Amino acid sequence: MVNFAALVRDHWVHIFVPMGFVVGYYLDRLQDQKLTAYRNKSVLYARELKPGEEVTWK
Amino acid sequence: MLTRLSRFGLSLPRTLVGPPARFVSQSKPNENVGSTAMTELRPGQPMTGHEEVSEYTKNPDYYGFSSDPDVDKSNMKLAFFFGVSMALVLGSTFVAYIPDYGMREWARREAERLIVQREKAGLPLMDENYYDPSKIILPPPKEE
Amino acid sequence: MMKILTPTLMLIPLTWLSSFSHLWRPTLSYSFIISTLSLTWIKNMSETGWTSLGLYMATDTLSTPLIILTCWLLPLMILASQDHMKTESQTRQRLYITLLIFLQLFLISAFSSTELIMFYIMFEATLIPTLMIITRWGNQLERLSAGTYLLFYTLISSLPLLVALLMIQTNTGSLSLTSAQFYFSLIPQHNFLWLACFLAFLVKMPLYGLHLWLPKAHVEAPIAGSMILAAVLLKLGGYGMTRISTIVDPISKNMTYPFITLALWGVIMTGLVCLQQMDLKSLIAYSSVGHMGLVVGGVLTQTSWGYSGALILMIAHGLTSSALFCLANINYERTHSRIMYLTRGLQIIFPLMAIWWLSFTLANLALPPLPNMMGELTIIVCMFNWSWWTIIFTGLGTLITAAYSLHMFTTTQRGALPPHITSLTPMNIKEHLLIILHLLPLLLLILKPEIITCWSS
Repeated sequence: MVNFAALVRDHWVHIFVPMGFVVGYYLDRLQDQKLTAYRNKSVLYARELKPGEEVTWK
Repeated sequence: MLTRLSRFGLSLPRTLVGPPARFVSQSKPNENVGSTAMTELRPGQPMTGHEEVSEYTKNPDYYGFSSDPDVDKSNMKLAFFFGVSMALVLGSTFVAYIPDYGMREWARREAERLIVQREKAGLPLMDENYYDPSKIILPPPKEE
Repeated sequence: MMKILTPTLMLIPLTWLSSFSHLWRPTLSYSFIISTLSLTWIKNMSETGWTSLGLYMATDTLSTPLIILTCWLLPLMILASQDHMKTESQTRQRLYITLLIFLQLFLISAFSSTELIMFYIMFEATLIPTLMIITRWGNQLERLSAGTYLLFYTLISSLPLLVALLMIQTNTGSLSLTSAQFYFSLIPQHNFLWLACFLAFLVKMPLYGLHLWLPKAHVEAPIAGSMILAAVLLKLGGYGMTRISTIVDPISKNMTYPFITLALWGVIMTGLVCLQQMDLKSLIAYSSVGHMGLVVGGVLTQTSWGYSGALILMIAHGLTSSALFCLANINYERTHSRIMYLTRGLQIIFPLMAIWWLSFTLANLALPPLPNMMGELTIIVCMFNWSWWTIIFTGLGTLITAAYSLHMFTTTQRGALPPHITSLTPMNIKEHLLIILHLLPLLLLILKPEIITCWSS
């Protein structure tokens, strides 16, 4: 346990970049979700969904 | 004095670097003459203050990463692992097996397939309309 | 997009909070990890051209190689400037790395923005860290005048671009690059609009005649500054020209004549300047001006061959010139002199370094299998198609390029060692690694050229 505490104390700075990656990945996902609101909404390019299909992508 | 001057030449702090001509006339006694010569050189060291000796005299296995030998070695291993093993080897493997950059080969194959199919059916190779015009229902014009 | 930008941002607290004895290790490792992650952008499955599309940022086949080059340069700069920074105080070392990280942040944002005004802001923002690196960490007093040149050349030339962008915004109501090809019918096309749009990038490239800031900045900058300046900052100009040329497309047919002529004339003139150059760094800087002249020519012809040749040459030249600056710096750290005639005959002392010099000299003069050659040849063919007179300039330019590259190699490496060089520190593994990390991507690009070739509007 002491070892673990020492490990955390010595190497806590290493959390920054992985954390940044996780946050960035989450933000990217969020943005993708936001942009799906525009999918299949174009009047020209929209198509009907096949039976049993929820969204045009995937 | 001469020995110290020559050490100046090796790793002088940048702020003190003058015109290159300053270093032209230095002579360097051979450091590898023998143990006696080396012991003669030693007393000069503590007085050197902020200037540094060549890293190789302190650490013969100097890798160039740090003046502390242990940190130097571990830094070297990390740099090689992340730079070569990860970025170059893993990265180039990833790039080599990437599926079809920009879908260009797929587009080519698809085009060839479509041409064969359309020639067989006797259709023109390319239709005037990409989308079936009957399927497009334009919105009423008074949108604005 | 954010999955690279936020880790890059997080490198800054890492730099300031990690213990001083281990300052360079985590920054180096994590920047390598980030550059490996940036390779995921090569996975491009879209048919429309834009991938990882967000509201303000996206990548396409033009910006992806440039972003990856930017990400790749950060660990290399950290690796290269370690020795240079050894004598500095703790805060200054941290500040230096922070500036390099900021530079990467701004460059990624500039290359990936889909909004022209955001591109403009990031384009200008890269000036600040560059200026600080040059004026604070440069070697001689002339760095101040070099900083002034850099600042005023780029600022004055880019102000018309801001005006032009505002005008385009009022006329079209949008500055989005994703729909840029539909704008030009909405904009009152005028020669001055074309000039305003292109001048900023022509100075940044730099075009011959507007290039005076570049050799000064290169000579005075510390190693990391020279590397990023040659490798990525100049490419910002080529990237910007390629992007903006879709907007001002129709008018540029008659506007390009003087500029292509000037660019090609510049290839020859800078080559001749290189041939009589005493200063090693200045020679490499002038050779970048010459190569960038070819890029300007390729982009201004506005053909798909021109664009793709320009992109190949930009990437290849980025790696090559950055490596040449590293080699020059390795020489400089040993002999404390950039004068070529005082550092002759190094092949006897550093045989392995002579191999690196040879390979990058050959890359600089565009040896066949290397991407430099693919780029130059594509541009030369494209220029020849545009007007056959250009073959005189491009052919002579290539000849002079080969001449000064070999001149650089023979002067620094061959011959007898000058008598004043009596003690040189051996090359260490770090420096070999640094050069290998420049050389191997260049060689690997031969095997997969489509990731830097396929861009056509």
